[in-house]
Amino acid sequence: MIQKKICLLGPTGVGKTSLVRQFVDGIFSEKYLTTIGVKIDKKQVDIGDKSLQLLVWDIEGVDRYCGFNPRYLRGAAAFVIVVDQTRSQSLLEGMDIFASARESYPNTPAFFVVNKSDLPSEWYWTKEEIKERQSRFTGAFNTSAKTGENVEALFQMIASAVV
Amino acid sequence: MDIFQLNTLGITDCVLYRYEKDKTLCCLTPTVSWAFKVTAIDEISLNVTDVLSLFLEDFLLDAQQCWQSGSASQISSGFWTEASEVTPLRLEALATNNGKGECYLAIKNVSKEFDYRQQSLQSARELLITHHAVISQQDSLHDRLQKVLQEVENGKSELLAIRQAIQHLATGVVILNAQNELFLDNGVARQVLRAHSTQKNCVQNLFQLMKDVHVDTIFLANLEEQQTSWRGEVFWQNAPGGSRWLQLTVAPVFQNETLSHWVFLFTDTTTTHTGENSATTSADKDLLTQLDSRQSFKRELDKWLKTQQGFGLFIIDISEFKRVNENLGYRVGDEILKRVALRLDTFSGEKSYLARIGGNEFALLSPFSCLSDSIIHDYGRGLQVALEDVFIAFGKGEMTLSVNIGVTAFPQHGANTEDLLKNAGLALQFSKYKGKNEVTVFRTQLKTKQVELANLEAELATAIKNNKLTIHLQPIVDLSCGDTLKCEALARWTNDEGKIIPPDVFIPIAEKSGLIFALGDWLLHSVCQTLKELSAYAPNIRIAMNISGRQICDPDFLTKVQDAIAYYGISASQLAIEITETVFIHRTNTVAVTLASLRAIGITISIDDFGTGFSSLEYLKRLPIDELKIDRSFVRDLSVNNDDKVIIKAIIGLAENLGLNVVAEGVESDEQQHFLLRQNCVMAQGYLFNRPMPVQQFIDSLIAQK
Repeated sequence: MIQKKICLLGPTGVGKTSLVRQFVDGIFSEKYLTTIGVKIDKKQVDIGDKSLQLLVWDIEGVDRYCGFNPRYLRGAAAFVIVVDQTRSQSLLEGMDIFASARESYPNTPAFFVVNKSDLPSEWYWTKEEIKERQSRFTGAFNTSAKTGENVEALFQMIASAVV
Repeated sequence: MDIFQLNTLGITDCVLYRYEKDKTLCCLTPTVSWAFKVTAIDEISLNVTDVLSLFLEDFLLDAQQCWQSGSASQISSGFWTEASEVTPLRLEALATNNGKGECYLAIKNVSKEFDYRQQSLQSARELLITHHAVISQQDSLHDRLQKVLQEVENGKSELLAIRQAIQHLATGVVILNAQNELFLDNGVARQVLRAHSTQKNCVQNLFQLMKDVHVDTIFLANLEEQQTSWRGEVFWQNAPGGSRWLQLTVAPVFQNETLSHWVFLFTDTTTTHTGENSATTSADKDLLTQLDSRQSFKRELDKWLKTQQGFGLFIIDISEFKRVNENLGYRVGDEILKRVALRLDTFSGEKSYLARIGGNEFALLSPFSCLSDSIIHDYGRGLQVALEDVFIAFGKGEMTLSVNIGVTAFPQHGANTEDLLKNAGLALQFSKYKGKNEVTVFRTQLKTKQVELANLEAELATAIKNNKLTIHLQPIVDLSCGDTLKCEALARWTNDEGKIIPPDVFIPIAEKSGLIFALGDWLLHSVCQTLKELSAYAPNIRIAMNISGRQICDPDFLTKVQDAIAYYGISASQLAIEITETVFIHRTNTVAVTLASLRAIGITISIDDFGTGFSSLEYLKRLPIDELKIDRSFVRDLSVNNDDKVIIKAIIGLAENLGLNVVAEGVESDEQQHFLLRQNCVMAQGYLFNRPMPVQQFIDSLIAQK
């Protein structure tokens, strides 16, 4: 079966691991447990009559305690920048990470995810500002790892883009 | 002791592979149970037949490069988690090459380190997220209040609706009208401000808070002028009910370009800070760099002392690191600190001990078999060189750092922890005093020198207090004919023993000690008094005086100038203020508001030593200034240095475009004068025309000129 490496990147606490847990195991936990290093999960996705296995790299959040390591993106078929709509700062940091990733991997398909759509938005970005940022990506989604909203759709779209 | 014994004793839990010449991996520790979870191993040859871990498979690409390079090197994969039916494996792989043909792959089970790191970072990150969430809430609330307050003014929205909306927020809200009267507040605000009784009480306490945290009226005026908001974290030391940390947002609201309201938002973040401190210090470890903290360093130093072996103690201070954080952001600053730690660690090697003992301070212990001053000085230089290379900042380009180092050696410079640290600190202080990128090894004479400087500082304080300094005036002349147009006042000091103390000695002392404020006050009064004396001979002459960055940021500076002008009965248009470009690096907005106020009363503003600082066109366009003074270094070498000619032409052209006057400093020869005249430079100052002179001599020269 074809395998494709997909990397999840983003600031700390935006819900990268929760998205993976929801996608792979269909579960969600309210408890926040910070990721250390990298954990790889696998899941089979069907696109039409083709099946492929996504190797989802859940990478420790980038913050003052952990820098961005472009090495993890080597060989990735796509990467996802995850931000949190309850924290404005996460969008700025997410775009910084995106810029750094683009420096090393200018052509890899990139997806933009605004997570925690089940919670009230606490940022002041206008729709136009968000749209402008979204336009730099191959695709964009508002997701909730808690309710599962758009999580399957996100990975389906990624799979379609990389197959 | 080899790896088998270490594993058996439970000291390590590590799988070791040898990289063979035929590019295969041979497992040397097949008895480690989990080795088969990451690699498939042939039971007879013990060769790796397949790599089962996806992460390891990826890391082996880097490992191959390490093994195939001819030189000694080691790389780490970082931590990763390998899923398992029972307990997940936490692993780290290391590829090593000793440079002599021996290459290995070690995979360590790092469960303990992983747990430790996760526990430490869990609390640190929870606090970080909480803090970001507070900021987001305030930003979002600020945005919504801006809109709704404008609607209230337009009659589209009801006051009652806003009142109800803010009552149940977790953020304190106080809204004032343009006259600073209370418009609306909520319960959280009254609680934070301890203003339970009256509305007046709430506004009073709010302004007390603003005053206590130095959010002064100039600052607010600047926000209004720039039509911008401010947010930051402040420590309110004198808060009613006990000191506390507040996340504060201050925002003006405008209706048709006119100020209609002030919005103040605050959240008490004291608990976050308390938690942060404990998270950072819980294990005496600096979480950012993973080095030991100051406390651990002292304990380690005690251990080194007990061995009675000679060693050097190096304190490494990164100069002006605050600027890196302010200009590039804390994330970049943190990244750079981590890389500094890595470079120092790499340079010093395994036998040394490195700790981060302050925000921008590292301490290093290194063993030395021979402890001559020159050897440890050279080692200090080596540390400095290791940090000299360009740092690639996280997505923000390149930068270089300057460091100062203070050094002591055991046993010659101290027999105990306190003495060694104190003496290294003193040596560092002297490095800083000398400038940047200095290494100072402690000498007993430094103590004497320190006493001398302290005495000089005390003497200067007395001299200022007793008006023992004098001013000299240096004419600024018309370049074409040499006639005096105005002059610059320069402070001069001859001490009680008749010894002339040069300004490049006493002004840095004043800057470093805080005497600069007293010296500035003295200069202001002396200049105003001199202007009064000169009024009989040159009623319209203007005197320029140098003002330091610290003075111009003083909220009372404008009032002091106005008071002095009124006291001596002179005209503000006779005063000029010279500042250097560096004052704009910090607190640009505050400085701009003060300068604009000074100009409004007729005082002119000159940028001194122009061209040596950061010379940003953007600043020149935005800031209220009248004149550029070309630094003497460009004028001095213009006959031999074509670059300086080009720079001077550029500065004159720039000033012309921006409508600014230009004064060339340090003109000492006819050649320089003629070149400047050809470039349409009108004014100059320098020994070719006049040296600085006592006031009476200046008066005599004015009379002679007439």
